[in-house]
Parts: sequence; C-alpha cells; structure tokens
Amino acid sequence: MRRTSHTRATGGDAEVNVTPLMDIVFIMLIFFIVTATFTREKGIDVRTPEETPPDDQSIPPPALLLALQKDGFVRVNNVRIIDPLSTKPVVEEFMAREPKGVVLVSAAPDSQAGLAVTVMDQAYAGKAAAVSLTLQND
Amino acid sequence: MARKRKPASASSEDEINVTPLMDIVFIMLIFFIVTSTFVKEPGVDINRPEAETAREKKFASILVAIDAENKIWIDKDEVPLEAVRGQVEQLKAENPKGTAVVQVDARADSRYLVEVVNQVRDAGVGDIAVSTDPKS
Repeated sequence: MRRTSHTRATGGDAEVNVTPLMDIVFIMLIFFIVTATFTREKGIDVRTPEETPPDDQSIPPPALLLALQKDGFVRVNNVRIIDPLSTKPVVEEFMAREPKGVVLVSAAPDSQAGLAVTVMDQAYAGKAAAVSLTLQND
Repeated sequence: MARKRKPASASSEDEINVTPLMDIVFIMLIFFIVTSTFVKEPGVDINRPEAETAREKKFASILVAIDAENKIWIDKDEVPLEAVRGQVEQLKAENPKGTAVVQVDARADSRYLVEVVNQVRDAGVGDIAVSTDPKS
C-alpha cells in the first residue's frame, strides 16, 4: 500500500520484503549445519550362521575352516597352524580349488576380535565369496 | 554510484539485492537437510582393527561399540549384552533403512563381537559390518 504510493519506484518490479524469510532460512541452515554429522564408516561385512547345532563343527564339504585360537594363530582345517596375516594365500588356493566354497572363520571366545577381523579381511582379500564368523564352543 | 543519483529511493535505507545470497543459502539449506542423518554415536574411543578390503558403509545409522574392556556402548550408554537387541530394535524403528556397524576394539574378545552381531541380526538388521581402519 505504502509502496504503491511512491510515484518513482527504484525498480520496475514490486519487491517483497524477504527479511523474515531469510531469518527463518538462516536459523534452519545453522541448525542443520550444527547437527550435521558425517559418519564415514568403512567396514567389512560380517555374517554369522543362523543356527549352530553342536555337531556343526564338522566340516561341510566345500568349506575352509579357519579356526582362530586363543594364542592368536590360525588352525587351517584342523591340520596346520599358520599366522593370521598369511591366511590370504591359503584362501586363494582354496578358492581356486573350490570356486563355490565358503570360508568359515571360527574364533575362540577369548581370542582377540582384531585378529578375527584380520582373518576375515584376509579371506575377503583372497577372493572368498562368503565368509562366516562363528564361535568355537569348546 | 548509481543509487546516489536517485533522488527518491523507496525507503530511507539503501537496500542490497539479496537474491543471490538467498539462492546460495537455500542451496546450502537443502544440502544439509538432505545429507543430515541423526546418528547416535556410541561415544567411546575405539582402536579399530586394520583391514584392506573394507568398503564404505553408507547409511550406517545403527552403531554399536565394544571397547577394549568388552563393554558394549550404544548412544553413549553402556548396555549389557542381553539388552543390545532391544536397543538396536529401537534404533532400527527410528531409521528403518539404516545399516548396522559394529565398532569393535582390536583387543576385545571375539566372544563379544559374535554375540553382538548375533543380537543385531536377531533384531532384524540384515546388513551388518565391522568398522575398520584403512591399512597404514
């Protein structure tokens, strides 16, 4: 109303007062900037079998059993003991022999979780398609 | 310069053209609205294990931490092992599309890692990952 009475307006278009809009927008912007949390998590997938009956510790035909012992070494198929950081070639060799094989990482309950993750990582690095993590129940 | 020559301006104060400012502010606002996910951090310092095959986990909204003393933390609270499932179900209800990330300390026991992963899976979360650091 007041604006229209000006005979010589600065621009040809009628200007809307955007100050309250800007106030609200700035407040929302500040709120979202402050609450923004950018979680950049990197991780490896972990799967656990649905059911572990007590007699499941026997090796199903195309499976590689990597048993992580309490002392930090890995027992491969209950026959030999290797270092966790050298499981990758073992898994590679197994996957070349059994392309549909699964890798079962069986960790002792009081072994270090970091080593279990290392073994799973090595198994994935050795082109393993499916890696499962279980607990030894002995 | 041009303004000064106008003898009758619309109001007493000189007005600045705020349209480009508003454009930028709106774009920033939309960006932050879209990218904001309200993640409840466990709030403990975790010495993550190193892994080379780790992949970026997007939409990770359910975070469970296990520290070096085998204590389990969700949303800055220590949680007993049996209560993990209920807490994760609550977090899942708040953010149904989110995936779960278990932040486990490298010195924690494997028992807790497997038990927590089992409970998270029982809570109905299909995509579970273990948080790792890139290999240095």
